[in-house]
Amino acid sequence: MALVRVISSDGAAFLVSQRLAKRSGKLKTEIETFRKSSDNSEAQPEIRIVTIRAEILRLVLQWLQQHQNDPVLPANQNEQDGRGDAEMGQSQWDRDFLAPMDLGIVMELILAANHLEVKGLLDITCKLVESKITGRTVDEIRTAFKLKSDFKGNEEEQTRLENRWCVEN
Amino acid sequence: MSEQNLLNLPRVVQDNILSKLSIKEQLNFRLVCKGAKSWIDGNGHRLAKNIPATIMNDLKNVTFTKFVQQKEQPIHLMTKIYLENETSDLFEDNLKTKFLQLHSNPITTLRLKRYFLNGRNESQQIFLEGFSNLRHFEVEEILIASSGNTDERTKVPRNFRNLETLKLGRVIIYQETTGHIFTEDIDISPDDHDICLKYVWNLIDSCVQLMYLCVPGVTRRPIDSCYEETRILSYINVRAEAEAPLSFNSNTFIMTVDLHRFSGCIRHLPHILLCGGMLMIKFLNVNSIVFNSGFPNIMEGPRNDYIHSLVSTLIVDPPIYFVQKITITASLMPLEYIVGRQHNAPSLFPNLLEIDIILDIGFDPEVNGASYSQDPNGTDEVICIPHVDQLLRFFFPRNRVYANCHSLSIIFLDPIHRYQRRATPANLTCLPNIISCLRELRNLSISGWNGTNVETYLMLWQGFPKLQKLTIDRCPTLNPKCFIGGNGNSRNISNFQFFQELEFLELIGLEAMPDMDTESRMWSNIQERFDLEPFNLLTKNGCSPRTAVWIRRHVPDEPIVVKEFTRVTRSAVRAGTGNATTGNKRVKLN
Repeated sequence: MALVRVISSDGAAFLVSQRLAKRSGKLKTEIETFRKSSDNSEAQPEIRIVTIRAEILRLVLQWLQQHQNDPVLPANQNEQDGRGDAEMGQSQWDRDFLAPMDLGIVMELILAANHLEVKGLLDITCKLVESKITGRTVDEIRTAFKLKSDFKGNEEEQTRLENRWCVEN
Repeated sequence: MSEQNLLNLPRVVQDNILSKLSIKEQLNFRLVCKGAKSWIDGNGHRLAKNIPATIMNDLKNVTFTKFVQQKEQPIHLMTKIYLENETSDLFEDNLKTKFLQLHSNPITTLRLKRYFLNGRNESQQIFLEGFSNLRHFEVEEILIASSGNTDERTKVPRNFRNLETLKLGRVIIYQETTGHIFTEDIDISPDDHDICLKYVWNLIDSCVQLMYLCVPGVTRRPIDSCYEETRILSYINVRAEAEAPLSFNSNTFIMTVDLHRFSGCIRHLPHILLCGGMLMIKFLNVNSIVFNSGFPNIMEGPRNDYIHSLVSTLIVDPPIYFVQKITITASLMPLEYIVGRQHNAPSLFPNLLEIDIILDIGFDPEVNGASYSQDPNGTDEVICIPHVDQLLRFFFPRNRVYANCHSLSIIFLDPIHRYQRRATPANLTCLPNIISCLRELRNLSISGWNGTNVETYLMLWQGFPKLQKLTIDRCPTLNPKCFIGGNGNSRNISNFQFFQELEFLELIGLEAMPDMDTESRMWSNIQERFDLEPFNLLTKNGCSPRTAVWIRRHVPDEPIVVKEFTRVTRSAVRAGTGNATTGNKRVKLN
């Protein structure tokens, strides 16, 4: 089985099958570039991901491992039939996978999925963020995302007035 | 991971999250903090801070009632509205207060079809004063009741003091008791004329913080002289005196005056330009005819940066470093004419950013001047427009490049029948020249093109590979083949695919483009293949029937090969023709 060594920003190396790695658009491109530039067809590619630390990279690879037999979603697939990509691809395993993570980890996972071009993972993590906003009060959102109100004077009231047409309609 | 990451996520991720939130959730999220508010507002194509105005049709005194009582989920935050009012009846609507309570706060731009400047306009005034954040006000027509009204009944809304933009349309006199509009100048008494002058300038003078003033073109109608140049000069002087302490020795312009087609009477125009320039007023759409009227030095010297844009086709001699926009007009109107000299046009306008080409009724260089018939069914009057092609070749010589020019608008305009562009030629012979001069073009707008030659469109698509925004306005012969066809390019792909960077496609005036059925299967296929996503934020209830907009999120991975067969289903009755074709048929697309 052809393998590829994926190295995180903090130096941790993960040895994974090329078939699995190629489910990431970014890793697929890197592997193919390596193949074209390498004289030795048997050489093992080594890809350094300087923006993703080991803990996050492990989660991405874990997710890819779980979904290695899923059909690959096109990068530009739009929502169809009224269902988002996240709903179409999310399983109980995904929910269990994401459940213990705090939002900080989720944010890093979003950036990693975006960087590595793993659309399915990007969709379910974005869906998780959306669920932390939907149906919450403003204060609950601030608490969840550790955001503080920095409105001055009547700016918040002004914004509330701008929203009135929708809230009261 | 810090909390900032939520608000600083890459655009594609923001878009992914935002697309999953309802409008209400998005608006709720705006209240979290300033960053959240700008994050939502910045994704303009989702929450529409930058979308075209919401159009409200005139439903008399239930206009706002109908609007308020709509039950559908709101689509976007209204910041601009356009009221297509014929009368002032809609201001009598009982629910206008409710409308203002719900919607007025975010609205900064208001456009009225008709503004009643005097007479019984109390309801209109109350309505307008309800927009506490109004900054931009535009009217197409100012209606002034004929003499006999008292001054006490004419008030300018108090919030107009805060206006930054004022665009005024033509003045119309009407009889208040009967509603009769005086269409003939002979019906307008000297007293009425004085009233117009007084009320129009009372309105303008009340707007003491204007940054942008636009008055309509001056015609031969005496009534239009209420926008006379001396009053503009007076207003400029007043504003300059008021702002002088702030702007003294400053390089910042205190306001902009749009002199759109202000060429009817040029007695004072050079003086206005010179004085306005010294008083830090910037001028738009200056008619270059002024340079042929005995003031040749107006563009020379160290300070000529106050002229932002030039209208007309008169060529001036010295390089004009600060002009950012020119409007090249080939017109039948007697006040505009063509003068070509053997200059290197690109070096005359080294910092040009925008070019508008306005071609009044059709010309056809192949027959040495165009023919135009005023009678659609006959040839009783024929007018020729010579030299138009030569003019365009002067501005767009081969092997010259307007390196900074990013915007081109080509408008075919019929000054007599404004929406009939039947006389436009089959093709533009100088188009290759234009394309070769504008290699960096980002925005292209083409309006009123009635040529039957699909090749012209294909040439446009192929010629501007860096285009990001394309607007097509009332081009009756536009059809889906223009988007799918190829003209034998070496890659054998659809020419439209040369737009690798296209982000925004807008079709305006669909009712005038009978072959562009945007509900058809064929158009659906085109949308899918070019990854065009409908952009339905024009009105509260969805897309306007007159305008359709698409945004493009991704460039297709695979080239779209031409010379293929596509199944086309047509089941809808074509608007205007009454013809219906049903069933499936195979159509060769190229």
